[in-house]
Amino acid sequence: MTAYTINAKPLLAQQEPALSGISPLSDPHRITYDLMPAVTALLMYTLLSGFAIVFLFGIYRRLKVYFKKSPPPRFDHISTRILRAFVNTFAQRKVLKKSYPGLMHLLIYSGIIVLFIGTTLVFLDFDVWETLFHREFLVGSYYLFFELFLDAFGLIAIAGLLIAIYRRTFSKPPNLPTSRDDIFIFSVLLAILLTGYVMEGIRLAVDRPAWAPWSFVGYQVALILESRGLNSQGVTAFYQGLWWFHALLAFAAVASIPYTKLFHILSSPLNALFLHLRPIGQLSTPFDLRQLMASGNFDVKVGAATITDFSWHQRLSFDSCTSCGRCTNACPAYASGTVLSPMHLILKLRDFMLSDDKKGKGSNVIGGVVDPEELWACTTCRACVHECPVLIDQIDAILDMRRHLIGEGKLDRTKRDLLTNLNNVANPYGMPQVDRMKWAQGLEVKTAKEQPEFDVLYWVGCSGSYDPRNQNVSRAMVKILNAAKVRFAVLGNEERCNCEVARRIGEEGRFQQGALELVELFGKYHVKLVLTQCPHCFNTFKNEYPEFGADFQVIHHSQFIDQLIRTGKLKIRQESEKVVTFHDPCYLGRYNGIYDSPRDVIKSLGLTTLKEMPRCREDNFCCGGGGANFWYKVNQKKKVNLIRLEEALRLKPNVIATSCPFCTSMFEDAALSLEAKDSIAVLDIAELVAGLIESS
Amino acid sequence: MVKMIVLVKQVYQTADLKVDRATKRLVTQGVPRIISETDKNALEEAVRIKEKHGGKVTAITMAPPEAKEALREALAMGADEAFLLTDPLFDGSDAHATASVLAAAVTKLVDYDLILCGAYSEDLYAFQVGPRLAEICNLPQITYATKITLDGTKVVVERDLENERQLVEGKLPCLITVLREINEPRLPTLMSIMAASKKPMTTWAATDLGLTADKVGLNGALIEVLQSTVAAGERKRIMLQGDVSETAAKLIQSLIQEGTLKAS
Amino acid sequence: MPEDCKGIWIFSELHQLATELLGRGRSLADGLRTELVAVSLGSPEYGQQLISHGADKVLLATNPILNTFQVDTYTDALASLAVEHKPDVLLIGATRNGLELAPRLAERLKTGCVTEATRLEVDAEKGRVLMERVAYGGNLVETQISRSKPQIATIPKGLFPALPADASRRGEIVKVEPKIGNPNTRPIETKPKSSKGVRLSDAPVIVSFGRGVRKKEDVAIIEQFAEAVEGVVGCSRPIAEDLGWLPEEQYIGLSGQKVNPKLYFACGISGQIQHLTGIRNSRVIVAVNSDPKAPIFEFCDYGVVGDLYEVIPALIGAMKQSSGK
Repeated sequence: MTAYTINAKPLLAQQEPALSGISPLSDPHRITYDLMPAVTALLMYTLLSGFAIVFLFGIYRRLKVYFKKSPPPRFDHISTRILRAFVNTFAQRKVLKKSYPGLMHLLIYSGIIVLFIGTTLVFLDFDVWETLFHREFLVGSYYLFFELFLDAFGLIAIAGLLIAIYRRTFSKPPNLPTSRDDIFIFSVLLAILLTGYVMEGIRLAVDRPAWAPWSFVGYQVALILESRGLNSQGVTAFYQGLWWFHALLAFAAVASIPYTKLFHILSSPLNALFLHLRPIGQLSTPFDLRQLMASGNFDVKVGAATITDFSWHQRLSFDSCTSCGRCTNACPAYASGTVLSPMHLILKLRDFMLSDDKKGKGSNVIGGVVDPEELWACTTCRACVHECPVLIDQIDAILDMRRHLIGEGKLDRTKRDLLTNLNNVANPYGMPQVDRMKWAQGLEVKTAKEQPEFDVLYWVGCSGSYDPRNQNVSRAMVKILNAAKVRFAVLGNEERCNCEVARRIGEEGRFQQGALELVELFGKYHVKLVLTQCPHCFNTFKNEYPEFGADFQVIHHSQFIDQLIRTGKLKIRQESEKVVTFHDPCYLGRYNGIYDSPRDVIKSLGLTTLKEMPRCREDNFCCGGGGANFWYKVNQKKKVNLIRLEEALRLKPNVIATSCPFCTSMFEDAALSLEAKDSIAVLDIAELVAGLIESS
Repeated sequence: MVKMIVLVKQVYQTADLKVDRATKRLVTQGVPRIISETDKNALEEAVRIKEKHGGKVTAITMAPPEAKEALREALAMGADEAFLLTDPLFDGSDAHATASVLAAAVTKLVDYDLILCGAYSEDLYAFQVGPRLAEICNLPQITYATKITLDGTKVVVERDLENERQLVEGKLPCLITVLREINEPRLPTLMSIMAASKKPMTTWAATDLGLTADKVGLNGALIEVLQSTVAAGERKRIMLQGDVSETAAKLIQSLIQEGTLKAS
Repeated sequence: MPEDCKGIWIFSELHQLATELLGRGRSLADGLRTELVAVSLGSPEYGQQLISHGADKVLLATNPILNTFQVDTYTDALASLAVEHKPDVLLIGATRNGLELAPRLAERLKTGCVTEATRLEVDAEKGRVLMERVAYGGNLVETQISRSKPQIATIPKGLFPALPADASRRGEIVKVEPKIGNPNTRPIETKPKSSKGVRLSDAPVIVSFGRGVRKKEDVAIIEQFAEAVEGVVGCSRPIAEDLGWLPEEQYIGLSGQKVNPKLYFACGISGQIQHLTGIRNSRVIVAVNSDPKAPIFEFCDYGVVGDLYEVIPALIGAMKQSSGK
């Protein structure tokens, strides 16, 4: 190594090449292993292999856990999968749902990716391209922009990291635990980035290439070093030390991926790639009752009790959690003070899955690691799945565990009653089947039996049939249908619960039995279009029944009424002057993307003002009735429906409009509890409309 | 190892029974048939004992053929085998005739340590079949059990009486009647009910049990029903109006007259 | 056996109930022109008291083994006496003890037993007692007789009034020694229950309230009314869960208790479906609510539209009046 003298002149003016053979400004290129001895490459690659082995071993260890007692992965619909993975993870769509942390992550993410690509290009250029073709491609203006880019993105990454550190230290958002992993990652990444700039500065200060300012950050560092006087001998030794430090840190960071939170780099896109392709709203189908009945063998394991009961992909998903807390922060069960926190549930499953020491916990997840109450508290509102940046399906895991609990049969009385009622009288209320048409007394309603020629089957549903509050909605619907001269029929006493609630609570067999029976009944009457006022019925008919032979269309009453108004078949008096806020039912909105129809209906009601709640549309906050929670007692500190009604009341509306019988029932209950019956009316949109029909 | 027999009764879900005002009969069509709740408790207890001590649970019922579904549910809950005692000759049995038929079956099953049943059935609340069966089979009876603990050939039972809880000890074999407080019966899933169809279910008629017509059914009954009147029907929805004290007096009077409320 | 059976016999290990049985037994015995016999087992010996409450004869069995109720010894005792003396009718008090004793005894005597008879009528023509009981949740009332004698029936507390004690009444007190074997079970321990131990799910009469009651202090009127009708207090969910005025075990509804009383008072309860599913099995529902459109009125047998703060005191008054009769 030769010593250099650094003179005080600015680098740009430098024309003489330095001794290591740097070309003039017309030929910018990268000097790889600059200031490093020749043996560096060999040493580095040896070290790299070592770390690579560590990395691969870590991957292997995790794969072993995923694939224990599991069939291999499926690659069906690969292009859909790839697109989904790309859009959601690479293109950060889900991460950016929350702008502030999304931006923070985007900065780090893009910075690191660019730098990683940059390093890879260097490797390709020098160790591959050059070796093969005796030429380099990182030359000329490519190189200049290359340097500019890398420096810029290094800054971007640092900015992101600083925001992250600030956020965790000062803002301290809820449910964002800071673990050793986080500290490790921040330290290592910052160290790599900062040492990178220092090294760049030293290189530039020593080499003094003409294009130095393109590496604008390193250039500033070089200027600082120069101004302090740089002893080239000392700085080279320091540089080499720093270089190895930087290299080791970088290798260590990569090798640590399968051992730390950094694993999400691999797991997130893989999770997105291998996530099931079921439509939103369709729960998994663990067996086909028809097949079992044909074979006569019902000895099928249903539900998940141990880690190996989960599919390999579910296990991968547990491992993908980055502890961002978004799911828990959106979860109504968590907000109401139950023991459920979706994030902690997933993390507990992950930790249990990865731990070797299962002593004392047995291999059963539920009871030891997961409290059954966590599983029962879920309303299946899907806020968690919606929020998750890495596409974990928490509901999928919860349902599998519920199925196991149901299989054991050790349920409290209220859950037992629910299922017993379904078994005995085909409705969850336990009301007699012969009373199913009582709500229609005195109304012009024909049953399919009486009137086999109809265009629309009006599905009243169990709530619309038996709950006095929701019978009003059914009556309103009939008024609307008759006013619009729709040729409809109901099933009358032949109507039986579609057993959606059985599936949600985990009694898959009962659900399938109910579905098969109902599909047969619909077939008997050649039902082509089903109209329902219940989003749960809507969802199951639309997304789950086709698997069991259903071939009819289904429409929710908000869509239907909207259509009737738009096409002029239903005329509304324009005299309503109310302030209305609309509560999006989870199963209509998040599950099926229907946000506008009910709003359009409300807006068509004359002088009605529609005010939106802060949490609305796909971010809406559940009423608390879903996931079968309506039917049993959930230990909450402050009930979900109270929280939501208070949110509505803050807007000071006259009416909270609903379009789901459970939401209606939950809000009526909340209004009673909050003594708000005089300040707000809870009304289904059908009721709002029916009151304003222009009589012809 | 404990061999247990559980007596099961399939009843109509009482709350859904309606009265046909025209024919003045009970309408049972469309009314679900269920296992009487306390019998479920008895089954659950038997299965729990089996899970703890090992053994066998045999469910038996005297009923028309529809009761097969009740027995399937019993098997799904954990019973190992089921016997349906069915015969048109059994129709019209009172508590004594029923107990006689059950006793014949129990005797035919020979080998048992414990008979469990609900203290009463939800449709009749008669409280009779258990003690009658115990008497016929010459077994000790321990009633109103809310907790059962087995200890070799002894059994310790916690009983619930009006004003006290009693702990008694008895020797096996014996008959124990249980109350609802004793446990929460498990709910078998549809799958387990379908799977239970593999377990043995045997049908016995009067001849299989060595019973003659005079001992069973209407002929064997010791109670004769002279008259049957249907009482309730739909909710009456009688709205009382007017002066508060008059309304109140009228209401109380009506309730006392119809026997719903006892005069103090 | 049937033809030469005579005498109306009564037995209850609970003296108060025994006097009530004597109250009805007296008119039965007079109607059939036969004697009224009371059986007293163990100590305390109630000979003269039973006579003064209407018995013509008291059979006193003082074997100390009978001092505490045990189904084997009591069955032995009564069976032995019945075989010897051949009574026509035997009324047993329907305590839990009585309910396990009567059928066993009936089986031993190979006779019929009517559980918790609600009415007893003399059929003078045929010289027998007709017994009525309710079945199928109150949907059916059956008139039953036993084909063999004695006709046994268990009678619930409070169904019949006892006759006022008449110390001047004279009767026969006979000491008897029935054949008694050894008991098959051995009591180990007895723990008294608190007197307010009637569970909602077992209560025959329930007085339930909802948010129509405005202040916690006002719950006292409900409690007074419950006492007047000998009922147990229940409530709707918000009272227990939101307000905490009553413990959670006392709320009735979808996620709470399910009840099946003979009589259910719903005071200031609107009648949401969640509550209705808990009370469906009630035989008679009385609703009191100030809102004439409250859903509970679709679901009741008797409905009173009014302010419960006026109606409940009026009902308490009416109960007091009725006892005067």
